[in-house]
Amino acid sequence: MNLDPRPEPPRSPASHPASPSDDFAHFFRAHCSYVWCSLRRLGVREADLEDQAHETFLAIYRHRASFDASRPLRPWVFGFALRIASDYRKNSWQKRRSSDDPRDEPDTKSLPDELVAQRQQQALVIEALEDIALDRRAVFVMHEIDGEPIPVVAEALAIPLNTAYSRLRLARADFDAALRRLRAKRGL
Amino acid sequence: MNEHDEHPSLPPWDGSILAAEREREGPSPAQTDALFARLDQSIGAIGTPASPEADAAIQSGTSASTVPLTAAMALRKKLLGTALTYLVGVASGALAHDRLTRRAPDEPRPSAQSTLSTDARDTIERADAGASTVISQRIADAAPSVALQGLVVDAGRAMASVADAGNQRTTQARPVVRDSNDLIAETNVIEMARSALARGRASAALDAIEQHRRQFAAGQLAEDRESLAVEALVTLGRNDEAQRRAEAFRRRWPDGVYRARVDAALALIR
Repeated sequence: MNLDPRPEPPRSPASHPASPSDDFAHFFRAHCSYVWCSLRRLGVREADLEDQAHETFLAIYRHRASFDASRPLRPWVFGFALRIASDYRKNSWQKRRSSDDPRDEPDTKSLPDELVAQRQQQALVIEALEDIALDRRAVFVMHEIDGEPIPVVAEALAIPLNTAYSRLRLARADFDAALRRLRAKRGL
Repeated sequence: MNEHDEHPSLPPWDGSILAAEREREGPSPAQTDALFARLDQSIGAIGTPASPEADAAIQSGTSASTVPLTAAMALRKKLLGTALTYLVGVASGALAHDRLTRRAPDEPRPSAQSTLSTDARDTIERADAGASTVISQRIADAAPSVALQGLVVDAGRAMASVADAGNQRTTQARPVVRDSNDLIAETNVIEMARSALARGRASAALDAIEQHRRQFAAGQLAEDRESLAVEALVTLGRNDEAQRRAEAFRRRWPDGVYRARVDAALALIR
């Protein structure tokens, strides 16, 4: 295989370098990191990310012909990740949450202090996101983390604009409350 | 002293914490390689469409041909023109309608959310917001489903008929009360207040809050406004006003989503 499948360096939110209809290997390379991180934010555990990313790219491949190049690509990709994450949570989430599985803790051994702080903040965000219902979380992640405008979010999720705003507002409140609770618990 | 120390009631996630999450790293090179290899194998098992009919078979997960990913991509390019010709030439209203309505089991179908779960949740959210839902024709026109976005053929009449059907359904389910521009304008003012408060400019935040109260006395974001007002007043040390406004807030939204924030703000002056 001639193509390097590794993801490209961090990209700007607006860049959509590859369409799934043109060159799927290129598409994979450009969006692997985004799909991976989106699944994590949507509740897929670290140990299951590879499997779920695989399912996401397979679904995208099957439906690549439905992509409209005149539309933004990342929200379209996010829709697949959301669907896969939703199925994943239905199938395994409750069982995993109620089991004795340890939470995903960042491996911070031998990291510089600033990276340790960053990993801890990332872990805090992921844990706080778990307190947000998935439909609200999707809006929150797309807008607050991915930087997509709410009209784009509403269109990508096929929900009315006011519903998107409402979900964002509720998600912000949920996130805020979760952060306060987690910080109090950790004495931060 | 940093910004959050000065205003501990403010959301602590405005800046650095989400910035850290935005910098999250994706899979390691080894994970990426492993994923790509699995994908290559799986897509090889799916195969590449030899015709639009085969493409449809792939979309329904029934194809059994075997062409690896990289070879599939080369063939894909050759076949793309043929497929598009087929789609443009043959796609009639029936085909367009079929593509609009047919979905494989694993296809994201955000539009389908509007049938059950979204309707149920919308009901909850409308009740929570304490305001009627805004559904204008413009919103309906601006929010087509992903399936609509995916059309590559001129299916104007089919799209119009489906969109009309959707519009009729949503319009019947949710009364049109107010144009979405109002909500956008409300959001802008509230965001001005929130942003000012986050920067420690409580007076400017109160100005925006008052502007919102004048323009949107019964607006959909009144709860946001009143919770921000309490925080701004506490920040300014106007404790009596903050107490009165908080009591009004608790009476009006006893189970409001910002109740905890209002309580936390008041706790700072006790």
